[in-house]
Amino acid sequence: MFGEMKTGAYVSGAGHVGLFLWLIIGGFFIARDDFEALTVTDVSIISTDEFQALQPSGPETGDAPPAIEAPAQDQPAPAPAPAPAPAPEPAPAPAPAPAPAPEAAPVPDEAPEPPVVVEETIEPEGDPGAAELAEDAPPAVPEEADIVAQEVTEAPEPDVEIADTTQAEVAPDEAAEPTPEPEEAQEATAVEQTTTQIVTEADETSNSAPTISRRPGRKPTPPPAPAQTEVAETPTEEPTEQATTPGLEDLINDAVTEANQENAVEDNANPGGGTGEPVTRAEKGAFILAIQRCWNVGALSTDALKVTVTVGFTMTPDAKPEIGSIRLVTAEGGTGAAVDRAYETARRAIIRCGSSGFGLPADKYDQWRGVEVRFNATTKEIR
Amino acid sequence: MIHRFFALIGLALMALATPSLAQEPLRIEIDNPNIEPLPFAVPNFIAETAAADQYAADLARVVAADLTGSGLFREIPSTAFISSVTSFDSPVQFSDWKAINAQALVTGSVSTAGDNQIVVKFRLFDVFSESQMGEGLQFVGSVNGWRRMAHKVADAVYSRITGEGAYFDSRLVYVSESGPKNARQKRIAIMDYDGANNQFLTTDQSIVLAPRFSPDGNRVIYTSYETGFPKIYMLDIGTVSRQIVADQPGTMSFAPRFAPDGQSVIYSLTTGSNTDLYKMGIGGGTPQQLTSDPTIETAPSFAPDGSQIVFESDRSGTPQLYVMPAGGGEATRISFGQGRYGTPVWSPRGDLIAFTKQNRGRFHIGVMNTDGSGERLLTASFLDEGPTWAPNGRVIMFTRESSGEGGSSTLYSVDISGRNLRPIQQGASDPNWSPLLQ
Repeated sequence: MFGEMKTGAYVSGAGHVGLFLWLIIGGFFIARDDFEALTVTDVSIISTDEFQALQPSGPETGDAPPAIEAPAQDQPAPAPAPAPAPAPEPAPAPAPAPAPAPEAAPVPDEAPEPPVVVEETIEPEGDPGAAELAEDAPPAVPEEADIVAQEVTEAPEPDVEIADTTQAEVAPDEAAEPTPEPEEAQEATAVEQTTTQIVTEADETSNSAPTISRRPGRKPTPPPAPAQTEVAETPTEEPTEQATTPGLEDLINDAVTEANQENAVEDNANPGGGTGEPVTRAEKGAFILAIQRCWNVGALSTDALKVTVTVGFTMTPDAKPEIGSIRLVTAEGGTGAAVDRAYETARRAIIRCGSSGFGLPADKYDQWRGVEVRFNATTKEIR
Repeated sequence: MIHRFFALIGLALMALATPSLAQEPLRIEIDNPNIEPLPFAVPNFIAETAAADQYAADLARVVAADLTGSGLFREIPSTAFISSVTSFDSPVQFSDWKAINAQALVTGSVSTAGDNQIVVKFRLFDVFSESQMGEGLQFVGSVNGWRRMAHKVADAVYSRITGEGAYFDSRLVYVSESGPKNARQKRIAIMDYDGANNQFLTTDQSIVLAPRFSPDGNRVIYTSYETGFPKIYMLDIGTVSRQIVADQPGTMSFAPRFAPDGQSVIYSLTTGSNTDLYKMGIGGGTPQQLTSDPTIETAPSFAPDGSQIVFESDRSGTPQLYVMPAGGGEATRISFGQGRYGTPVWSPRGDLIAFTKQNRGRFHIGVMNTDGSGERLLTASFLDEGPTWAPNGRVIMFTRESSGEGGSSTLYSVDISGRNLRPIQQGASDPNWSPLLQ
């Protein structure tokens, strides 16, 4: 009796389990090829203020040209020099006659200086192997010296205020005879020397300026123009925005890659005897700042500013870069000299700020023994 | 599709669960670089002969002034030096230069040779890499040309570090102005890019405008009112001889500019009430009419490859910029911002067009891509106009005029980033930058 009930219970249980499975994964075994493709987009939460800031402001009031943003950067070069066509002879017409001027006798001048001759190149003395930066010769190691400052400056004046112009401090002259209106004390100011933003004077505002040039015209004053015809008003079409939403596979691949990298950091946890703890975000951040402090692109060409270089190197246990190990891993956004200059600048930053060590935790040495730094200067690109 | 989805999810989970076996480097990204002039040091050059002593310090000063004037470099004063360079061939004490944060070091020597010649040698070092950058160079020239040799040293240093083309060994032709605004006297003058070696090419007896170099830098074409009408003249700088280029009776010709091959010029010609663009060989011949609109077309400038011309036209009602094929044809408007645009000049690199813009009572010098996109205004003042490009396409010079009865014109230069705005020459206008000297 109980056996029959047990069998029934088994049958009933199996049936229910099957039903639940079918409900949960129903359609799993049924091909549904007509599903629409999934679109995966990132969603972020923003505040009301941020949302307001994203809204387009009212009518355009700035100087930026409308509607022709970002067509192809490179102008396709049409075939040069078409065959000259016979031009109609312009009809001579009486022209407004400015006051005649007497013949101007050119002033005899000195002949231009003779050209300078580049005669020969000079071979470097001493360390011939160090002629090329790309060849990372082991450091000849003169004595390491600490960087005493970012720049050499005179002792700063106390409490100098940053201003647009430099002006000397003026204090009331106490020894002088009293005057009805004594000099007003004026604080010393100095021009700010460096910047992280490029601000041109075009951003400033002004109220007084002419509406036309007062200099002699580049062309004679034209008579009233006949009815003007609008010609060549061909604003370029807005470029069509290319689909930029990453595909599902890309997202998953990125996730896999990122996970692998994170694993790599954690799993590299010092097989040589360290603590096994991964490099923390704070330690990474401090490392980034330590290199960034010395990364100066102020003397790079406009082409080199468009280049992103990834530079790899190994470090000694005291967190100093091994200069001979510094190498270019990849470069994006340029070729040739632009890449070379971008790499040199990155290399200089690593060497300069690494000379006294990057201060990474010694017990995690195996995790930061090898480093790859991606230097992306395109945020400062001159567009 | 859904099969693929679950398969990918499965792969992802497996990847997450499986530790990577490879030793991965620590990877970081830095995207906020500093923008500061590069600190450098130029000790006085070593005088290898007694007669060269007078040039040793001067050469170093000109090199330092060139680099500093570019705005991309900052000189470390000699008072901060720890070690001195006593011999051109002696090893560099890099630690001493590191200690004062000199990131580049220029050492040089000068010696005299026969026939009033001097020999200048230099080397450039990357201090923190403790290595020489590129190869040392040696220049030989006349003692009178010592400034040119200094400019050449600076050009080599500038190009090696920045990656930009050179521009210090170049000249400017411009209109020298003197006297009050209502009776201003004007002469064509020529000088080094830094204002040195100023020389006048014409007298002040007539109004002269718009001098422009030939592509080889040996000739200048300009507009003169000496006959009462604006006419175009071409002047040989070496012999100071000149010839009239466009002379059609009853017409006015102005705003000339050489074609990149130097064999022809484009200019504006007014007949009756109409102004159009024309092209003519420098040896004369029949002019070729390039535009035929009943409006004013002027200020033409060739693309460096000679295939196109950018010019100013008011055919839309206000002065705007247009581009057309070099042989004439349909023009395409490229300026669409608010205000009036004029005096466009194509960059020698071919990538940008500089222009003057007037908007809301201010004048600006700006640059845009050759299709009109990416407009950026670099300056703003009472009156800025007439840009010209340095040979490397990185620096622009223009005229800035101050307001008031006593106002005067001054040449200014500015980096195309908008940084390093600085005056070059007072009492001057309408500059045109030569190509790099040979």
